Amino acid sequence: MGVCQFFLQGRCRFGEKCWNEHPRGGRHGLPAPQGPGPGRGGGPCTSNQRHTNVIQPSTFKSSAWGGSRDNGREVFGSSGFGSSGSGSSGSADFSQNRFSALMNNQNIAGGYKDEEERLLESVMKDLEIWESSGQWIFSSYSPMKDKPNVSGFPDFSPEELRLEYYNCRANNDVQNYINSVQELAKQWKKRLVELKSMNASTKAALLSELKNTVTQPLPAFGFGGQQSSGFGLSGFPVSSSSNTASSFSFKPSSNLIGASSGNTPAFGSSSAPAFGVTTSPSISHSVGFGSAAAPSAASFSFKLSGTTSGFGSSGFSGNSAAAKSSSPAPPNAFGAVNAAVAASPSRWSPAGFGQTAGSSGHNITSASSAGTNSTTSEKLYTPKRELSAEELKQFEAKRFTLGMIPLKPPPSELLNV
Amino acid sequence: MSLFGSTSGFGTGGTSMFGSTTADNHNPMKDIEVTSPPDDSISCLAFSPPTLPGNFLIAGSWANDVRCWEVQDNGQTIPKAQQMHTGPVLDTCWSDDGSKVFTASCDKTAKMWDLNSNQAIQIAQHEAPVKTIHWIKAPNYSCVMTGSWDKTLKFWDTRSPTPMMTLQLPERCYCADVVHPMAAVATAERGLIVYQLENQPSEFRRIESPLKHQHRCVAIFKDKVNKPTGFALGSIEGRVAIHYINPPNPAKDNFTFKCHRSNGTNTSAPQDIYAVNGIAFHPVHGTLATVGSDGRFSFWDKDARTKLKTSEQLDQPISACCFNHNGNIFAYASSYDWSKGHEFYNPQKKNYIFLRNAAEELKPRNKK
Repeated sequence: MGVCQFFLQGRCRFGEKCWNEHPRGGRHGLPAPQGPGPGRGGGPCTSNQRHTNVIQPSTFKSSAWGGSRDNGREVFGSSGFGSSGSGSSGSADFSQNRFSALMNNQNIAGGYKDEEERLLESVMKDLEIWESSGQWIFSSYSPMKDKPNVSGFPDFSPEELRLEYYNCRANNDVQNYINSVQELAKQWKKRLVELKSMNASTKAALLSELKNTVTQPLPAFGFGGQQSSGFGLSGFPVSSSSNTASSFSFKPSSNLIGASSGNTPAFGSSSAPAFGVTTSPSISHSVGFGSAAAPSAASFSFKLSGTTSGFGSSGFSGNSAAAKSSSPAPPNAFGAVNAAVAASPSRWSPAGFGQTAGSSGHNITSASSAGTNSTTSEKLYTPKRELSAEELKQFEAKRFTLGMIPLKPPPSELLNV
Repeated sequence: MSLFGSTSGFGTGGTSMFGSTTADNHNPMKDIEVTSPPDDSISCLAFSPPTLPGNFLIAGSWANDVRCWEVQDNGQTIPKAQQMHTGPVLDTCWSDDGSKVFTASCDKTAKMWDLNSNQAIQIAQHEAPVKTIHWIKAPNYSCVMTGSWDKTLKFWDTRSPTPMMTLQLPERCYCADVVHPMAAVATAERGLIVYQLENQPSEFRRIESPLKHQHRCVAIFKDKVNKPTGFALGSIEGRVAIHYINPPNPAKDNFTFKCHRSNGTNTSAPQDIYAVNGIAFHPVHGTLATVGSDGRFSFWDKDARTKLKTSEQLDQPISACCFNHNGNIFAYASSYDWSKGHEFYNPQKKNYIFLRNAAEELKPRNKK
């Protein structure tokens, strides 16, 4: 008995009565199977079923995903190269398996993990070679085509360093140059060691970076492309130093990421870098906020709430703390994001929260709601006494005012069906 | 002449076929030395276009100067003229009629040097050092394209102080090449953009980098009917990617190859990996030359996917290279490229430009 190919596509007409295997965690939720009665019991349909057995179940498994990727990577390592082809076939498989991935199908989970492992392996190998080969260390790095750059490796060209040396030499301050370069080298080494040791948090951060959509480089570049302020998004520490556009000055501050938090320009999309404390992929997602696909927004908000990576030196995680402690509403929309995250991350999608997405100036300034919202409310209604005056007013009004939509459910008394 | 990679270290003698036992390995290939080379590292080389009779070579250097030599057919080089910037010169190019030379410098400006009058005027201004400069000659317009570390690509009519057009780059411009109507720009953080230049320059496509590390040099190649069809991209990691813009079969047609490594293709032992500092395509044969931090140059046939030749190792990195307009002369510059930091910088060390006869060695390998 083979795996039912129609079931995999979500259109098996026989449903439970199907003679072929319907793997658990597959497409349950999809088109209801048609009445099995008429179709059954005859020669013709049996042969239909048998026909599908010809297709091997292995196409469903991880090898379909991993195989092409694997080819791409292997060939890339030697003198051949197969990335574009593997990229496209990879995406085709992905759309086919989308739902099972969500339902945590065993097979798919296994396939996915293999790809992760492969990625990690290639990263380790590349890092080893990088360390031992004597090649230029101030370089960006990505384990594979299609993948974004691994964070923590900013690009500096030899010419940039050389110019810096010449400038320092002209000012009789070569020691400054030497210190800056040593600092950069130390950071590189630190990042390298961190990745090589690959403990749980590094691994998780790395994998989420790398998995953050194939198209990630595009939005990041596109954004930088349209910003006439030339505000660079990718390569975070670089943007901090290159904003002093006139002279490429080394800021040997240890927290290169924190250094750029001073660059908070006007609001809306361009402030994204200021809080993209994690990695550039998340920055680009936040930029495309109103228009980004739901998954990316979700990852964005999750990153915010889960900034355990210790990078939160920019004002941003300060905001989330403020929001939770019911201090006056943080003066930027991202405070709103935090409050929303605190309330119910699962509801956070541009579609669901339609009123908030897209209006970047949106403030859930109901500071009190932020304050009292530290736990996700499970109640269906909120007793009137638990509502603040503002929230009550909102519920009583004919319509919600944008910016003051309460996060708690309305009191049952106000509901009139 | 023995060719293939002696494993001698940097600076020690190669195969002593010339009888000399001194450690002077500055010219192991016994190529022609250009007289009066610049006093600091050479960052760029450019030969005059076919519209100019004879061959003139321009070199920009970290000594803030641009020098011009006449190269005669017997190999003699005669220094002709020189211009200065207030900062190191990073790139240089000729106008299509051979009357002007454009130079880009760390002083954030670009200059146009009229060779007839030996006057140079500023034609471009950026917020950061100008890394690349190219002359664009389109049927309906001509301009100078400058790429800078200020993340912009600007197009200049040489008569006006404001640019005709400014395009934003995702990151600092590291290298660029122009073969009308295509321009390829590689930026920091592995950015790669192709522009089309017909009517007016516009972005054609952003390409995901085929390389894993920092981009260092790029060169566009043409197909058999002389139309630009792709580019070669070199990185700091001893690898060059050949990328076609619209290949019939991307998975098979695009590929990368390793070069400028100490162990060749033996992957078991740890190898030393050197940056690819320059790539140049032979104007007639379509084969390419790469020069690296290891002090070698190599010739390759990208269609047959083979290496044609690798030079002996020079005692300094090779920082720049170019072919003359008919492909008879291959020029390469031997000077320090900062690949090992300031510790290995010796201001006293002499810099060289060598000229080599390239007519025979770059003939393509016949595909079997």
